[in-house]
Amino acid sequence: MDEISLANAAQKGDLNAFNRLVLAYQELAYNIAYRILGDPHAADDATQDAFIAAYKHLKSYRGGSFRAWLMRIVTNKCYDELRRQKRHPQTPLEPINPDSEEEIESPQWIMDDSPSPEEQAETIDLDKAVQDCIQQLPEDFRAVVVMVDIQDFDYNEVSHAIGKPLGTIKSRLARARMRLKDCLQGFRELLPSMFRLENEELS
Amino acid sequence: MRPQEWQTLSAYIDNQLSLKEKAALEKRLEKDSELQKALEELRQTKALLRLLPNKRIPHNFTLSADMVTARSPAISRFFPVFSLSSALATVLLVFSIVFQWGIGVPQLRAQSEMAPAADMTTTYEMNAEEEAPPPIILWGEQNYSLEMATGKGGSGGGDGNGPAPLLLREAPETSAMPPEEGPAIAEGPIEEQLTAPVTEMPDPEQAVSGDESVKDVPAEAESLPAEEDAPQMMEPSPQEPLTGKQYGEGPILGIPSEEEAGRIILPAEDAGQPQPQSRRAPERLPILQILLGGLALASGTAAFLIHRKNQS
Repeated sequence: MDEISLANAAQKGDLNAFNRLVLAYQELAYNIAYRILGDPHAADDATQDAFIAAYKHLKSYRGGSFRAWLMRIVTNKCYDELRRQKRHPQTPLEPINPDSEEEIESPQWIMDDSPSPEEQAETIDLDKAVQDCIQQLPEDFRAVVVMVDIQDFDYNEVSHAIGKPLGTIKSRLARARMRLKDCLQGFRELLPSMFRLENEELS
Repeated sequence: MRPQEWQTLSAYIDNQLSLKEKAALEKRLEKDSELQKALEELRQTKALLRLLPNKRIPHNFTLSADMVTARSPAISRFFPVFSLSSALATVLLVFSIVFQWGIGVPQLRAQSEMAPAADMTTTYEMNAEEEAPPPIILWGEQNYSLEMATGKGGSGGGDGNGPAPLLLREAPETSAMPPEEGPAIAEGPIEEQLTAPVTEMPDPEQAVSGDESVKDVPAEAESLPAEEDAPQMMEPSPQEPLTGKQYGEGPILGIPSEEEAGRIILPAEDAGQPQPQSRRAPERLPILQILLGGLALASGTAAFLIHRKNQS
């Protein structure tokens, strides 16, 4: 069955048909959510919530690209999560010293075997560097650049998924790429050799 | 470089330019090394992002029947109730305010018109002890009420021209009386007749012309607005205040006792008596509005809190 037939069957209440669509798109949905949110747990929750919401609102799907329709729900869930994080910013756990009753800034109990900040800087991988740069983008730019440059969506699909016209997609994508280019300059030593060589030749 | 040029380069590497735009850009790229460098940086950035591996999903996201049919918390079911009651209370509150304005403004106007009459009556009572009371002659049948003589009957409340025409209808009979007892009714507006110095004995000729006054005055009385009759008819001339004491002391025929006259001579009080009754409904409105406002605020707050809880 193709996705249209599965979607039609799911609209009639066939949960198995919908779960087949879930299996087909769960990796894509989770990775988009992860790149937008930058946190695996938040991406997990957003993806699960998106699939539940998609099943409950299947009647609003009226043909066309099911992938774009589903990714629109995923991105909306990600924006909801980002807004929730802004309303309820997380504060680090700071245990209180029983003697002085003051907060311990570097609690020993929370320390683990992870490398020190210097070691982290040395071992940071490209993936994390890129993810950091994506996180620095405005929220509206993230979904566009993630879908087009990471997940290889075409402009029309992104337009449907974001709910914005093509001109907005082009503009946001260009500005997102400009910012990412500038951000990644700070991680030149982490770039693959082929990129470094080309950069050096150009510069 | 301008943002528009970056956007053109970005669309170019995604092959989103038209043939014409593409040809124009390639022509520029042959000459402009800075443009070439920018294009290459954008391509590298895109290629770098494409290299990012997909993350493994932590688990399958397939849905179970329980997940699909899971109900929202019990308190969430009250959200529509609270939101609806808040909206209804707000609408009712607005209606009550509009209703109050609808009946309150004319009532206030009427009250403000009656207020001076009450003040004047008080003044008249004070003056009555200082000044000699002018005699008032009530012509016609003995069963004329003082309300008629003093213009009280003309006030008539909402009737407009109720008792006043009764008084005037008797005028022809009084005109047939001897000149010494000629009618006090003269030509002119009712207010002037009632507030005119009654010490002046009427001219017998005027008494004869009473028929004319009968013809004229009702027409004039009818032309007066019903709402304006009451205050106008109750206003005696400041020069000749009418009090109960005056009624009892003057050489007047058919004047009731002083107590009765005193009771009748308080038109402002009589006019004021219905006010509490008519004011009952508006007095209840603020209480109703406070209750509605409180209900709207409380239910709206509850709905807002539930909504926030559902979102978080």
